[in-house]
Amino acid sequence: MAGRVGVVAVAQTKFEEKKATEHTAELMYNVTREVMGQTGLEFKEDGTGIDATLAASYDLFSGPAGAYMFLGYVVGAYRREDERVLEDGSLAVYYGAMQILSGHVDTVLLVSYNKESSVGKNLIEWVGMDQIYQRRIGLDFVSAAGLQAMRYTTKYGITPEQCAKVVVKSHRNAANNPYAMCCDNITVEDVLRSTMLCDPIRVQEAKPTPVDGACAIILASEEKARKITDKPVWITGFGSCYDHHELGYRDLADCEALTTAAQRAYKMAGITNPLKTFDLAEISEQYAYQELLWSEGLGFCGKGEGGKLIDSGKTQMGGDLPINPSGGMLSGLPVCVAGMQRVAECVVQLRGEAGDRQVPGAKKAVAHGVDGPAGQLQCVITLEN
Amino acid sequence: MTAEQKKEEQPEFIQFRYPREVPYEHALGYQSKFANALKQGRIIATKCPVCGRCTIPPRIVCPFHHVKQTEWVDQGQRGRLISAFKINFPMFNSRTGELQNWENPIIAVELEGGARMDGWCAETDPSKLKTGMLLEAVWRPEEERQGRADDILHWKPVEE
Repeated sequence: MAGRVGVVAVAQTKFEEKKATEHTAELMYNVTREVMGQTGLEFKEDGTGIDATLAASYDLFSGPAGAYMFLGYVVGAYRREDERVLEDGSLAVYYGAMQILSGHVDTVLLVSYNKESSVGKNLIEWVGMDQIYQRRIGLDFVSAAGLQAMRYTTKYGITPEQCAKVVVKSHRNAANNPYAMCCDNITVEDVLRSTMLCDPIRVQEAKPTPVDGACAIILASEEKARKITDKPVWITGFGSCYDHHELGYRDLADCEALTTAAQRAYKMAGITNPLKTFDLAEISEQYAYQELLWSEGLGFCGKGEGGKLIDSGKTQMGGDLPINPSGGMLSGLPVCVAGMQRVAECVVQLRGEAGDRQVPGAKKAVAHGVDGPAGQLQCVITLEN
Repeated sequence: MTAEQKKEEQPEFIQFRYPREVPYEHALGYQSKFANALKQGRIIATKCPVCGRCTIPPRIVCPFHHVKQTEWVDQGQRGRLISAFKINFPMFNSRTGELQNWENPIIAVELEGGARMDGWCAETDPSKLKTGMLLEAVWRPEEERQGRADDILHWKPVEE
């Protein structure tokens, strides 16, 4: 491996239900210029600026398929190398790091954006299902999550209260995060009283929708990173794994793809005990049960022990491994942007710049992104300062 | 091979129809200014503070210099023909969503203010279109304008 890859700048918008007065290009522009401003890097052809751009977005949320073709110029995708990720933003970080490690480029600007408010998210996610079989019975990502939640909670005896605790933690943590959308003192009882969305998932246990926002990151080779900033955060490992799209081909109570992605990232980073190693985790839980299930896949506890983990208090702020000090997806993040924003949040923490949500003395963190129905695609990125 | 076996070997296709509307709401944001000008029968463009290039559709940054474009410049009502072509197959009408034949050639015009934009030409005989010829915008009646590119019905040639 040719040296390390450093994160030298991160930026995010405030996440809101509907940014009615801002064009998608404005969200992209604001985060792009912010990271460029932090580093002083411009678009140059002589190797002293940003060498390549890489955007993660779902075109179907922006309008036509291929919408990025008329939006790319905003992030500088004009007469220079540009790549696209039509999956979660964490994958853009993965590919950006690969570009640098290949020796092909030294600096990559990553941007992820989504205005979920443009169109019904359920419709887009229904289109994401196999058109011959699954669409015919109305399956979309929410119903896939319902199937997974039922299977997971039944197999391992995860209680509704344990899932509800995830929401309570998320909203309280979000109160310390100026970028977050949902922050309140919701109680377990409030969550359990909320309307059933997709049995056993209640409305308060699902990521709020719609959410609009964007995130940007600049990655640099080790040599460049040290010149650009005195607080680089290093990507120490990354791994991804695709599971089968057909829900029936998997045991939804387990998340083998995440286990595999995590093991790949941990092997690269030399990590054997994630619960002890990491000072915090920023993970992508679109539904409350997923924080518990993904915790198992990430190796923070054994299979079926996600419920016990939240009961132990270890994942609270002040615990051994705070999960989602930012509030996570349950506090309101757009799909696709979420994975990149998880990485950005880890970076803010490892730079010691997280303000009221800071985990004191954070040295190592893990970010996680997900895509597809019931966590089909998983991506894990480990970072340290 | 029996007729039945032959039938089984025929490739089979499935066609799905999902008859429903997919309503999108695109926030115009900074582009609202352009849309409002069209409703008033005016064409305005964003201008790069570095190179002075004017762009239509309005763009938040100049692609050449990646600088925010905050200045708007009136582009006038006339321009010169850059290129033209006639579509010989049915294309979508964005107002009706239906396929239709287009009698009017699609053209690219360089406006008096320097920006370039696309539209239709009133002259339907392509042989009469010459690069550099002067054209003038013909607008839809005010009550029909929606702040969209097709508020300009077409461009008509102007004698010089």
